[in-house]
Amino acid sequence: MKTAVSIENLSFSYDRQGPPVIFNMAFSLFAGTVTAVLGANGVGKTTLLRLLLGLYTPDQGDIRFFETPRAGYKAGRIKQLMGLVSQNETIPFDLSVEEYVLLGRAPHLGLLAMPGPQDREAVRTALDTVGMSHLAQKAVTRLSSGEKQLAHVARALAQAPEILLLDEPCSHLDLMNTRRMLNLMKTIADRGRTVVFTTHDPNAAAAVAHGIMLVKKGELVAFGKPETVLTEDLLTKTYGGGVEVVHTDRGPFVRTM
Amino acid sequence: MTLIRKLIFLLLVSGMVSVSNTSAAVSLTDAAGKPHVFDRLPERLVVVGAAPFIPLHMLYLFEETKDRLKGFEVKVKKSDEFLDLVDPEISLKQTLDSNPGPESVAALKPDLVITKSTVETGLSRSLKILGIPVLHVGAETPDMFLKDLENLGKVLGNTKRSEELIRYYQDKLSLIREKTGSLAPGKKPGVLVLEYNNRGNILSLNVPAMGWFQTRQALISGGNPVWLDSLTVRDGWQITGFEQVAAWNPDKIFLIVWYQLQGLEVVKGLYGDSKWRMLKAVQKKDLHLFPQDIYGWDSASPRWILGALWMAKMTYPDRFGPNTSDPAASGREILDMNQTVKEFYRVLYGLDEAIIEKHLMPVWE
Amino acid sequence: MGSGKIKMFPVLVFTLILLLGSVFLGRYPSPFVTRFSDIMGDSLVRQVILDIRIPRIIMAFMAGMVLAASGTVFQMIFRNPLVDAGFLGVSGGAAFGASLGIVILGGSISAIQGAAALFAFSGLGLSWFIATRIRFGDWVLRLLLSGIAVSAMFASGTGLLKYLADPLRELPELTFWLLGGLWGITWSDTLQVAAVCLPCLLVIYLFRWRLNLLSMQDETIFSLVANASLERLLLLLAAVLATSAVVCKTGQVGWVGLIVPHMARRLCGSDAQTTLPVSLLLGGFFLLFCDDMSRTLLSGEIPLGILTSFIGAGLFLALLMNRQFALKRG
Repeated sequence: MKTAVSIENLSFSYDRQGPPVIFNMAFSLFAGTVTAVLGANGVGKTTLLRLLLGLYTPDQGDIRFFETPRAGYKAGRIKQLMGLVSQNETIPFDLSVEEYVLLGRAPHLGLLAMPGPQDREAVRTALDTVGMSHLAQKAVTRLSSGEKQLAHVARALAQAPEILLLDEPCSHLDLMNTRRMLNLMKTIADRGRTVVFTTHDPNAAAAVAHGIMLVKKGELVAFGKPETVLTEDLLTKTYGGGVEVVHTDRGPFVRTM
Repeated sequence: MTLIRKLIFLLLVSGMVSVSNTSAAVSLTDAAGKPHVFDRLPERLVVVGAAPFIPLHMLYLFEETKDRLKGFEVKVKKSDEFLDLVDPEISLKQTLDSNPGPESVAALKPDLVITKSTVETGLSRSLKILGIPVLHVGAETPDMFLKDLENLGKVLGNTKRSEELIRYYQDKLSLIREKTGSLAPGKKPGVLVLEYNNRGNILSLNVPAMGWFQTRQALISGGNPVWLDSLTVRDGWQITGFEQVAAWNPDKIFLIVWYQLQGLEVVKGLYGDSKWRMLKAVQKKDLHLFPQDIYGWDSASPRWILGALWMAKMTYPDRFGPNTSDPAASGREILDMNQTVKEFYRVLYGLDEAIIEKHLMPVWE
Repeated sequence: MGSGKIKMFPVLVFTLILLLGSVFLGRYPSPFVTRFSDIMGDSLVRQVILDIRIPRIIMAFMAGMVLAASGTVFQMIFRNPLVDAGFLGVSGGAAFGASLGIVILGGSISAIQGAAALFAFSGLGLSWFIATRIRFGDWVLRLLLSGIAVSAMFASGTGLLKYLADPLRELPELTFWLLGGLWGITWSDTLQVAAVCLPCLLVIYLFRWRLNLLSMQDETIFSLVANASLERLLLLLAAVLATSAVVCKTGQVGWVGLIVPHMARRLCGSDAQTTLPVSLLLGGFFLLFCDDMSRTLLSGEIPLGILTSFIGAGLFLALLMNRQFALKRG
């Protein structure tokens, strides 16, 4: 299995004098895996994704994708390589779902190129995958928050990046849609892509992730398979509260005491 | 040849010369510096642009205007009472609404458009493109005014009349110069021309800009305009206040009151005001209301000469007062304003005395 | 995309009809309609059409296109349906420059237009400069705030110049310029403006799909677009350059940049790929229609800005209140 993402020595703070928001992180992610980043609110999960995306520049550290450092990629190539589904995405104008998902095709189009039949095909496939084909003509501003989330993912699917980052993808979703989202992430990974998502729900992580990262105050507390990482000890260290882990035949189940 | 035949010959020759004069091309340069050549004298005149009353009042100094003026722009809905006196049939002429486009002007089929401006305007340009010549009249300084009269005389084919008019103005200007020119600048009385304005119930006092007619009138009339040093704006009325007036403390104050206020009332009010009573001019009873008939004498229309004469008389009352040096004058005034007004409207506009006395005598103090 | 394209066709047809019909509207030789017999019979009518009406019609249409296009660009890039190009101090600067030209610089046509163009650009430059100095808020907020401040500054300068203007000669001219109008437009004006505006409109047209992208939030744009700042700058510059060129000839004509993009969106949805061309047509149509009225209704010119505000506001109200007039979405 090839290494999709490898991080060495990653540190970052928002301003020079302040405390580091990410400190000395190091990990490797394989292609075709789903990785969940777990931690309490505000520990730096979103910041980590933004560092991976390149929105922020690390103060120190090495970020490589498929063995090549970020600087080795052309700017346009990186956009084809990596996609992000943000947490609270706002869309100011009432594009239709289809028109919105089409935006994901941008990295594959030249500056002056207009989307073509190939791109529309990709959009159709993406909408099928998330189960939103029947809503293709609806205005995005009129969707429910769950549907909006799925539309964002569809957009990312149309982008077809090698590495897909999702920030709290299940936050607005109901039970069935959460299930659907988690399955979706698994399917994407099964196709050979690398998925990284942040969540504060350990059970969602457990359900689908190949690897789980525990983050506390910007530092990596643990990284490994769910069974290894989801122990009461490590979880208490991460969340600071009383947690209980129940071992079922389908994997660990975390609940608070 | 006998004497009579010589005379007849001379008459014929001069007749032919004058005929050929009018059929020769007329060329001139207007106030915007644009050259004009007319092979045929224009028969249809239209006046548009800023302050149309100024070029109209200048045109009506010539009797040809009655027939040749075909239309003009009106800026305000009220008719011009003065022009009604001069040309009772003026209401029959075509009028254009404010800011006409080139098509509306062309619809009157003019062969010459006259506009008051010293630069080429957008309308002038468009009309030129349509082949309609535009004569620019400046009327910003006395010299420009006289040059405009000369141009108008050429264009109307009556240079004799324009020469007569120019002579009239020059005579009056010489009279003033003769009586007032001898004093050194430091000895001239300090004068202040002040516009008293009650726009929207907010009182404002303004002084005219350097290039303006009111300032010229002050200079011509032999006074020392006290506000010139403080002028910072090249153009337009400059706002000032009572404090500055007190600082200048001029010998004479000439107050222009906006026509909507009662001029005499305003002057009476100022004479009664404790602040104003501290001024030298008010104490010496030298705060004067600038005269106006239908139009103020401070505007750039032909009556500006009356304003200058009046200011000269107010500035140097002893030099324009009773003529003590000439026994034949029997104590008559060197400059009798009433007579001058009547002469002005009679000679320049052909109005008779009854009309002048009824409508055009200014409001004196 | 399908339904949007269908809507564009009637708009195109109406626009062509108006373009052609405008040639026959005027005040010479008689008010309103010019008949064929007039055109055949009087050479001055032909000259009026060729040298006065046609350059003015083209200018009005172009100005409408530019204002609508830059309104669309600004609304999408600033993610705010209530902005137009005027927000970055462009129209305020042009107004100030024109006032300066009329009151202080002598009032010649080149002085007025030159000063207007110069200050329109300084308005943009100043807004940009001040925005880089602000330390709080995201770039949208910074630019909008500084744009408002710069516009206010120019407005007070214009107010001062209005106060100092000679009420006989300069103030009427100034007031007329500030209310907007296309009187006095000649072929050279139209060609000068076309030389600047057509390339800018082309740039905006070619990049119209990218506008959808640039209206997303910054993070999303970053994940999809290699050099978003450059694209944004290019589009804004094209919009501002074209607007400055237009405004220095036409004076302040409001509402077009604000309303026409809205109308286009209501007709065809928000996808800029369709909405931009429709905005162009609607904007050109609207301004041409207003200008036709401005030069034909009365013998005096009605300032264009008055008509665009009046009709524009009226249309907008009607649009807002009419429930049926919206794109049906499943």
